[in-house]
Amino acid sequence: MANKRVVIDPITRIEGHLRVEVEVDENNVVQKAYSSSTLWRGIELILKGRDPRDAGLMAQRICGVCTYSHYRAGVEAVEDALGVEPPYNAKLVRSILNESLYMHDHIVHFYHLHGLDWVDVVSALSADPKKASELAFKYSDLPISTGTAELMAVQQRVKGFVEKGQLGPFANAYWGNKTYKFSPEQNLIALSHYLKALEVQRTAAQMFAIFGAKQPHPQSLVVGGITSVMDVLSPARLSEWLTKYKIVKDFIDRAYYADIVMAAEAFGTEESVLGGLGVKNFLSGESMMLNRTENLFESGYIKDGDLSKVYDIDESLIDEDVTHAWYEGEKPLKPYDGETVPNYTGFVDGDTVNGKAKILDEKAKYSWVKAPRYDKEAFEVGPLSNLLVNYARGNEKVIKAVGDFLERTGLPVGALFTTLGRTAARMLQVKLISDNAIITFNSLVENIKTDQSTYTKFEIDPNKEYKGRFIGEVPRGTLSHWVRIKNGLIENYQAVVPTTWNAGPIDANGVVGPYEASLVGLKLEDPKKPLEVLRIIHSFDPCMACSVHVMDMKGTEISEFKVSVADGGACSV
Amino acid sequence: MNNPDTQIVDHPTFVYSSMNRILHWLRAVVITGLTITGFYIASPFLSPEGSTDKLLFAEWAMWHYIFGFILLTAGLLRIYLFFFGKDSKGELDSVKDVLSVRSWTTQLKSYFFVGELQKKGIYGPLQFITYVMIMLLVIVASVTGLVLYVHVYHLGIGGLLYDPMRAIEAWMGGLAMVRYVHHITMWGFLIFIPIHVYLVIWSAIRFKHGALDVMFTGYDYHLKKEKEQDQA
Amino acid sequence: MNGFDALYSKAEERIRILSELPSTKNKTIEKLLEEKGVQRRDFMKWAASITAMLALPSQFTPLFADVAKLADRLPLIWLHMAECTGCSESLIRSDAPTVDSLIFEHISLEYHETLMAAAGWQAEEILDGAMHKYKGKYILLVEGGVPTAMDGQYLTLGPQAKTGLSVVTEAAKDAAAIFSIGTCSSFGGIQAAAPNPTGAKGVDKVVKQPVINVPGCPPSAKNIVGTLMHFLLFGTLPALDRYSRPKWAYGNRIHDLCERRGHFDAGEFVESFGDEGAKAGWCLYKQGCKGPYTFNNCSIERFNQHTHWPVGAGHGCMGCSEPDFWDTMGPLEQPLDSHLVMGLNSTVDKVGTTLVTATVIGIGAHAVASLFMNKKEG
Repeated sequence: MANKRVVIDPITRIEGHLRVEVEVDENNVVQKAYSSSTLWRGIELILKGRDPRDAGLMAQRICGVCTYSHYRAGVEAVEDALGVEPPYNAKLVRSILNESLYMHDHIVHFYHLHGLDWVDVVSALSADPKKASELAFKYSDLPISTGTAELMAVQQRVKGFVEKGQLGPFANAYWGNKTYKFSPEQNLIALSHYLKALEVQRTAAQMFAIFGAKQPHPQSLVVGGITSVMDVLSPARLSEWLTKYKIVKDFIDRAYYADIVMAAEAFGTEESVLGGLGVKNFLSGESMMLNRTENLFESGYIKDGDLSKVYDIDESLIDEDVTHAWYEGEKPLKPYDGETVPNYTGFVDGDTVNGKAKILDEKAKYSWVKAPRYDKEAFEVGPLSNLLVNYARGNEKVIKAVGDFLERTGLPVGALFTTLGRTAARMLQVKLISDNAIITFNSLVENIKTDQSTYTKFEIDPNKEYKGRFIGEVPRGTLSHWVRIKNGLIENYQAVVPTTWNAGPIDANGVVGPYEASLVGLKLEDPKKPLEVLRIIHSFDPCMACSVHVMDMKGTEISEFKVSVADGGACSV
Repeated sequence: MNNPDTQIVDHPTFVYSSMNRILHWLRAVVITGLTITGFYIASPFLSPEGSTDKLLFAEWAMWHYIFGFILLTAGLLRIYLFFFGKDSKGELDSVKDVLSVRSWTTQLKSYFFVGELQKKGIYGPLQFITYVMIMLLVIVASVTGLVLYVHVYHLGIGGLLYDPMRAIEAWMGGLAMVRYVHHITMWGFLIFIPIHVYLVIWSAIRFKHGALDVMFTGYDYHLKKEKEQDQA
Repeated sequence: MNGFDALYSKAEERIRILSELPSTKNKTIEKLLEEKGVQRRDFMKWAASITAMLALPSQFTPLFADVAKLADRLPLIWLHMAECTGCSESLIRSDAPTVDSLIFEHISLEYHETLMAAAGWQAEEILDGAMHKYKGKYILLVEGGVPTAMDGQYLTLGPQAKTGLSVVTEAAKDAAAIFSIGTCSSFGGIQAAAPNPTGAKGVDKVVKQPVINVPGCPPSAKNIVGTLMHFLLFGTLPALDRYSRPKWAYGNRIHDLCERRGHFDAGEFVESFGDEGAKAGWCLYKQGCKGPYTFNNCSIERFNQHTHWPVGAGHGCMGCSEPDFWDTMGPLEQPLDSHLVMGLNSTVDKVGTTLVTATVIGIGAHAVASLFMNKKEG
């Protein structure tokens, strides 16, 4: 029997416009997967010919969710090109902003974007609030928002929604799907946290805005430093940050961590979340400056899931392929020389499990996302890669955090290399960041006693040519911006975005990217309601419409992979 | 060299009324003032020492508005006088020169030392077009200035003109564009002024007439023409 | 009847009409407020603050409370075009804890891709269903510019790969009101900056219906909520300026109500980021602040629950609520006299100086030539 096509467009609860298509066999097991970004805006073209000092503010408009990431990348790429070294205070403030961003972003992603893949809102109705309140102590010593009365109030609100049949944003979803594994009580706890997180994320955004001016889309960075010097030097502002930081950190410790422990327990045997990892190479940038000598996370990469070997990144090996992307171009190009010339070929008519639809022409071009490669190989980026690389590097903080978590949940190291592991890694990453952000903050407080500089002056010589880049870690993975400056203006600009690494289509050599690889072998409960696909795709935290490609393999590789990872894990621990 | 008697002009030509002469020098003064204060507003090059109550920028801006309103009023009056002043015939006659190809070639040739400057009105065609353009520039500068002004002062004329000026602002693409065009008009004046001053002096020397005097006394005289007539 | 009474009775009439509409919820907001533990007093306080924000007299406060209770009857459809989701994020940051989130939960948010649980075919069903069921009654909010080049195919949505252009024009047909949330849907935004590769346009340029623009990159949650509340209260479009921006929010320039304005008038400017002036909070005009050309209420409302705003944080305003600001206001951290002349890599002042220099040289050459000619002729 021929494979059946499943089209999911739009993938909701992400940033941007994403379409995913999978082909399932007679047992509803995914055989092939394709994904496509269905929006092109051309920002790299728009940046050409602009003043380099505008690069950050313009690049920031690439994304309003990981807002700040592209701002900082644009500013620091230009600094790298011009050879400008911002003062220590400015670097610390940028790091504090990054830490604040992660604390906001990961909470919103887990609860408000990813959460409904794990939490069955309707099931929470039949929970016993008293029992749930007691159960919460199993996952946290001091649970938050899980008092019996609070849970009852939450339950009543949800009841209101369900009874009237007018569910607003919760309508027409996948409630009751068998892969929802939480008990009604667990669902109720998570739902209460969903609502509490709405409140906490506002506080997290305020914490960011103290030094960032606003969130989303901050406006306090400039080439050469930062502008919020008044806030940095104000004890009132500093303590304001500290207060809000404690509130958010509290939520991460007492709710976010606990919910992941709970998910690990409930979903620990659910097959559909124990795969979902097809590309075994992991890349990570450096980030989270703590003081002059120490970063929380180091850069590097590992290959084939082998945690015993870790390599330094050679940036000259990064290039982008457009064979199956809607652009002109013959051979892969280095980011400094990257071209962005659209060549749209559109969709074809086809049959799907839901009837006739427009489908991707996977043999030709089918996505607006390019395919970045490192030394001709595909790499996964994101919190999981970040932790694995630093684990392999022997980063003690990371090893301890991962170790504690595995001990607490009783999971093997191999469990990290799954959809569940990817979701847990995001939590562990922000837990590490929230534990250590105070070090960066204290470094700043210490330094401003003697040094109040926040800005380095610079000149752009119109007669010189410059080139520079930023490579670093942002909430969704490794981000790099590449800029060339000529006649005092931007000559060329390319951004290699985390989601591009993860979602890039197949390249000229047939190498497949992480998204598409992750879906192959997945069994769907009901192809017309493909919750399992959403869960895997959301676990990557897509930030721009992205692409998946043809994979003509059976699911066997995933089980082989698990073994190799466990081996790798064993030898490095 | 020449007989002193022949240099005496018997019948000077009436060119400009006193009103027009006053307006001319008023414009000269305020455009200079506007350029200087305008440069300061665009890029404030002075800062007050010490206390904040000096309101340095506000004062510069105030003078800019005062000069601006003088220019605006002077411009309006000048346009009126162009059509209805007692000296307007000479100016309006220059339209004939603009429409005449011969006048154009005559004027352009005269600038390159070929032949005399002969014309029907008081301006050569190029000169006339230039003055019209400068007047348009005054209009553009005034209107853009008013658009910027209505956001500063909300009563009186500022309040009265608020709505129409906002319409112009939207039509021009926002205040930044208004401000940009306003800035460009200033350069129009700056380029015009040296050419204007030079050509007045040059033509006074070259054609031996009262090109300078005309803006002081209102009367032109033509030394060369007189001489030629005498010789004839 | 004076203007005030007319407005008041109009609002009352509006509330009467709204209250007659069938509720989409079983419980009233009042009931839900109670459940949430919000006291009526807090609720009235919030209503008072919204009333003040919209620059309405305090007599309107009870009306606001009434209309907020009825807000759940108004279905909203929020569409994403060529965007970055920053405006949705701004909406999530919405102000006045507990009460605001309640308002949002209980306005009937039918379709919003960033927040909704359903995806794919299920999501499309919701959109079609809501447009059908609430024909002529729903409010359409659009985030993002609309690509129009290549027949709009730079953006496709849904299993049938409809263009963004066709989806938004379709949804606009039966909307009770259309709000463009953010600079992209209002004026085209970043993707419409030169050379505008995708032909991106504001919504009002592609639909026939009237559109209220709520620009900003992103607009503050206050401006989004306030504009909605105005519609709920009066059932009409708020007073708009020439760019269809509500006057209550976009009536003043940033510059008019700026906390650093005193330093501007005094002539005290930050000469370089991080200098003593910057530490003292002096004016950012010389660091390219576009506050004098930008209409918005940032200086009053600020962002993130009044936490901060760009000028407060020592970075000038970049003019994000003005049309085409990316093209007309750059370089963003330099005063407007650094703006590059289109097509020439040069500023007006540089071009002007060059032209004046050329003029003077020309005059000199002419004068010298004149001397020779005079000698010859003489």
